Amino acid sequence: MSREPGHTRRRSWWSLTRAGRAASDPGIRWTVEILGPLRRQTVECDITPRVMARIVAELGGLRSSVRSPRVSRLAWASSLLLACAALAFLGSTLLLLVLGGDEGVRQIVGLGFSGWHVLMVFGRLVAELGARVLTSVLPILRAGWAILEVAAPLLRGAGLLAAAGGVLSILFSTYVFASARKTAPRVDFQGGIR
Amino acid sequence: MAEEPTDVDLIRDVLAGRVERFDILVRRYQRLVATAALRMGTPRDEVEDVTSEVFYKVYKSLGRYRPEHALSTWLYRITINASLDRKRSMRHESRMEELSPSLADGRPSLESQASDLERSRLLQEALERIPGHYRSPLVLAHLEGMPLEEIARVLDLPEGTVKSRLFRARAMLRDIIQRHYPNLAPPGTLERPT
Repeated sequence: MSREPGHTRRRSWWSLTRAGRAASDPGIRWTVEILGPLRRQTVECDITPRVMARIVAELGGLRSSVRSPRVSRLAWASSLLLACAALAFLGSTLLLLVLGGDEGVRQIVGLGFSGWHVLMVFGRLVAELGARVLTSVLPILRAGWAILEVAAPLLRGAGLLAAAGGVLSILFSTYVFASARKTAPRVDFQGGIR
Repeated sequence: MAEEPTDVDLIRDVLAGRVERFDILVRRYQRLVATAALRMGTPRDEVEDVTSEVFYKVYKSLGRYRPEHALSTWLYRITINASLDRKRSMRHESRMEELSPSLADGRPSLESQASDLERSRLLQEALERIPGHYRSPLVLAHLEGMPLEEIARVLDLPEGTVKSRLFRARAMLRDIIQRHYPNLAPPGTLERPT
């Protein structure tokens, strides 16, 4: 049975070196000459109707949701105009109601002022609380930062030591593994141990 | 006489909603794509399918095209990927079954029928035996006549890698021809590569 030519792993180690590779390369001239008939071969086909039909069929489904940029611009501008008109209408109605001395509107305005006052008081309370918390926490943070600054060289040293330990451990494991492989019993294909 | 629109102009038009302009791009490049697909090992009866699939993919991702590179570079990349994908999906089929019986048992049968077409078919078979990642640079360099720099761009690989894959691909081709298709080689070229 002939060997599968696509398999390259069975080649000898020298074929992977530059010299080995160059030796087995037949060169550009040879390749160009041998591939001549394939180079002269071209394909004449007309797939345009097929491709365009597929694209148009897909577009038919999308046409309803996708609009041209001009249409989208128009839609955007008209919705903005509509929003401005609605806002103007709402504002003028409110103004009319306030100026007309409507009872309901007067109550709503009063409620709005009370709500604003409550919000202000609440906001002030929250701000005071935040300031108090910050005043007590800041010295602790500052002290922590100072400790970190003092301990930085020590931490760096400890980190270096840990890294060196890691490297040594990897080297040692590699050594142990390599010697274990050398002395390990070999298993043959029949399942026996040699 | 009206000037031919450039690829970039056409792409810009298609992206702006004039989909019918894609028709010109397909007509312009369908031969290149179909021939590249054939050379990449796509069977002749499937070339049209692969080509239309390539153009559909191009249409779908047209927005990602970068005009600083030629459109053909991008098309080659998509064609190569499509051809290799098709090949991968057919991988379960035995390679030896695809060969004609006279070649599978190693007997030469070319003396009487050394026509260009037959040689092309056998060369195609020989190329199909080379793994895809080696075949692609070989096809682009020696069949499409592309410079190294462009091949690197098409395959998205460093130039050094392309160069070494080309060396290996040529060596593999020579090995395959020596073993399975000795009659394809020009006389006296297998023993002393140029």
